[in-house]
Amino acid sequence: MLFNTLAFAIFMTVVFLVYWIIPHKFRWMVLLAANIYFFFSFDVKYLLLLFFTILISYFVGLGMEKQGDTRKKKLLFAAGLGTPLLLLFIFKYAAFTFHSLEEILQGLSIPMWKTTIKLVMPVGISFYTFQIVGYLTDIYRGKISAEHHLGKYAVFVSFFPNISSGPIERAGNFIPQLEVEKQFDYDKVVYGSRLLLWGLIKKIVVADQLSKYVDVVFDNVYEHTGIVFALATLVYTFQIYFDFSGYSDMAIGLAKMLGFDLTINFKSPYFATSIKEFWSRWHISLSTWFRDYVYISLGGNRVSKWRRSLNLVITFLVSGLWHGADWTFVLWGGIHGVVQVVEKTMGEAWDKVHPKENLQQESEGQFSNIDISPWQRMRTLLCTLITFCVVSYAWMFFRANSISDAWYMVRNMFTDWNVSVALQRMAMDTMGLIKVGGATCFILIFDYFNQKADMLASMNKLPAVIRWGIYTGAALVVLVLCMHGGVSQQFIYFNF
Amino acid sequence: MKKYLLKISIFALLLLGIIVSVSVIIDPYNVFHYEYPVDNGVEANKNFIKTKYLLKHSDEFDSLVFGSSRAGFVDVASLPDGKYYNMSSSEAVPAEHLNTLKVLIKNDFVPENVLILMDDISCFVNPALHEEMLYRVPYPTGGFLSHLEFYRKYCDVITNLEALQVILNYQEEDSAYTRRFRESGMERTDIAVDFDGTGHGGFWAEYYSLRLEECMGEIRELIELCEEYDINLRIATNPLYYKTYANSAENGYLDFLEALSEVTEFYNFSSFSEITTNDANYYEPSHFNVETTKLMMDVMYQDWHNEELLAQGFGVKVTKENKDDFLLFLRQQGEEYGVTLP
Repeated sequence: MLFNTLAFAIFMTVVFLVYWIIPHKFRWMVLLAANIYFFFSFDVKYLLLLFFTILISYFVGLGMEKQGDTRKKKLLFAAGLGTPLLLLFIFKYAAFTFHSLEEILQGLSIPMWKTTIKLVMPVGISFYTFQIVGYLTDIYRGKISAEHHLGKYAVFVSFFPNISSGPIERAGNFIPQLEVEKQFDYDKVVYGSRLLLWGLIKKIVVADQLSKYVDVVFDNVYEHTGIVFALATLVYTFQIYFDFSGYSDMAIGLAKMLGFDLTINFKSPYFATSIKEFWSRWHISLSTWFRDYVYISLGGNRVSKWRRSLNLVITFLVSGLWHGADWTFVLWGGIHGVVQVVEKTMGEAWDKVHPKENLQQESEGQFSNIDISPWQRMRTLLCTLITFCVVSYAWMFFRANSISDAWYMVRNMFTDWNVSVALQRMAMDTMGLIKVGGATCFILIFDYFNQKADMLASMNKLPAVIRWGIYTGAALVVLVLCMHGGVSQQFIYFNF
Repeated sequence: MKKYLLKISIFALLLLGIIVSVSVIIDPYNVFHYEYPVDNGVEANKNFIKTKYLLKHSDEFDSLVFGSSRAGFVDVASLPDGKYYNMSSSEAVPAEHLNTLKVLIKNDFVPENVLILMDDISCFVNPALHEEMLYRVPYPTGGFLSHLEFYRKYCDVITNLEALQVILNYQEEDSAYTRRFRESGMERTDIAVDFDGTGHGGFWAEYYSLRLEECMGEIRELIELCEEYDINLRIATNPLYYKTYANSAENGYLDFLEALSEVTEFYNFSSFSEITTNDANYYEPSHFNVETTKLMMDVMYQDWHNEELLAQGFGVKVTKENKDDFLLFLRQQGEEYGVTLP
């Protein structure tokens, strides 16, 4: 059940009504039933797998808490982590691993059996696996207590707004919210509704429309050459952001409508002045997860400088692999890791020469009381543009169907500079350019000012007529597009 | 919560009201105006309109003609054994005839006679494809939600606005359109024939794919349903334009005819004959004309026959006794005409 379908609208209406009508002590049951139904709508097999994973991790969590012996606690922890990670490996990486092994052995002229593994990846497995791993690790590290209520724990793992594409929630943030008796908060529900609508705008009205210009190039790279690759990559840069942040907004909005506060997942990432800053603004729930459970586990900042750099690259390589079982994703992650190492090295060199200046403060300073000079503004702008270009370039590898496709695009990107021909090849006419260009600019401007003040909350200051006019216009556009063709596109991050 | 629910309900109703109003007013496929469909330049969803109309006026008819749009020229008034209604619709296939018949029977309309005209469309077209073609979406058979889902497809404002361009630029050509829908379900019969097949390669659609097992299952179910309700069932295969017939034969159409002969008797008009090789009998490579249709009805209902045409495979009543010889004849005839059979 995708969020932009009639079936989901009916489902959410029922859940919303029942949830707020019944007493607090039964609400976790409503959520659990809703989560089960949501999963069931995809495939009952996915549900059984989820239940199995929940049960194992639940009992491991309890066992670890009770276990005094450190060695046994470690064994339990390993078993608890191993189960969901093994399942993730089987469903997501087994085919890729065997295929890669085959290619390596073929290259070395070593015979190997031909294997064909075809497994359908269960919805949300990457996300709920990480939530479980985070939960067990936090228990192991003593940061949180195990949840004793199986039902509430199951609600945390399978919460339908964020199960399929995040944000990845921390048990320490979510589970306590299940305990608090919530009263219907009109302002919170209204804000959640606005966020849901905004997410739908980004996803349906903009991202879905951008995808057709991207797919025509990336799915047929050998039929193209020249600047069309750069343009398609640029369009994809916005497509993936609007698609994924749109989904996150919908998830957070839906959760708010039920009284829950999920982790903010995006903070105007394309205004970052460095790749490091980019990752504090992009898919925040994932980047902090990797920081806390991979980077820190590898030693974090407590090791030598070269080891820190290595840990950073490893963390991003793994992050790349999490996004997809293909070398293109690993390469994409590797680019981000290596660039951050280079950034860090250059930053340290710069700090030695100019010890009092801080770029990140400058970028935030635009909206604060910190006085920054025109030169500093220029530098911030330049850093933002460079960061954007690097991020955008890396997206090319992320979107490419294979390494050879990506390499072809890299080699041929600047063989032809004819922009109008490139736009034609992308099937983008003048009206299309105006529409998507206008919509993209609007969202970016919204994002820019959203750094200073919550734009959706600021809508309360508008006169009711204007506010309702905006809601009506936005909702009509979304509805009209949703009903057109009757076929929903899946979200980009759905397959992770 | 009451304040929120009240506001959101009014808001939702307002949005739905706007979308539904636009859709009902434009209604390019006539699904909201099935009682009085209009000739607006857009192909109507005839399956839906005719089924709805028949359900409301079932006392006026006792027999049905099913088929694709090719069956649209059957003059129902000329059929002597009942008061027929022509249920033909664009690219209709046996699964949809079965669907419609079940709906009618469920609503207490049991026809005395049913004539089904079949051809390559019957075995090459997957009915699932029609779910997304607004002029071919089959009549909804489920309950309230099924009907809601059906009408939801027609509340596609973008499609409706695009259709509006066509409607506004269209000059009505057929003043009897509404009357024909209500009285007979037939297509207009006064279209001039002006077809020159030179250079035409015969009709063939990209999405055609032989689905023999599935369509035979649907046909068997149709036959069983008619037997159960004592419906007099006649089946005939259409006189495909010879180039269209050749395309179909190369993709397994004769296998379909053979399979059909295993489950039922039928009148065959599909072959290389004087009729099918004459461009004057066709409007274009897909639709045979009114005169050809009349000839078919004369064979089936007036026992008219022409030895020469019979020898060419046109009008042969295929039965258990002659099916093997007849199918062999068709295959040999195909080879003589240069058809590469699968």
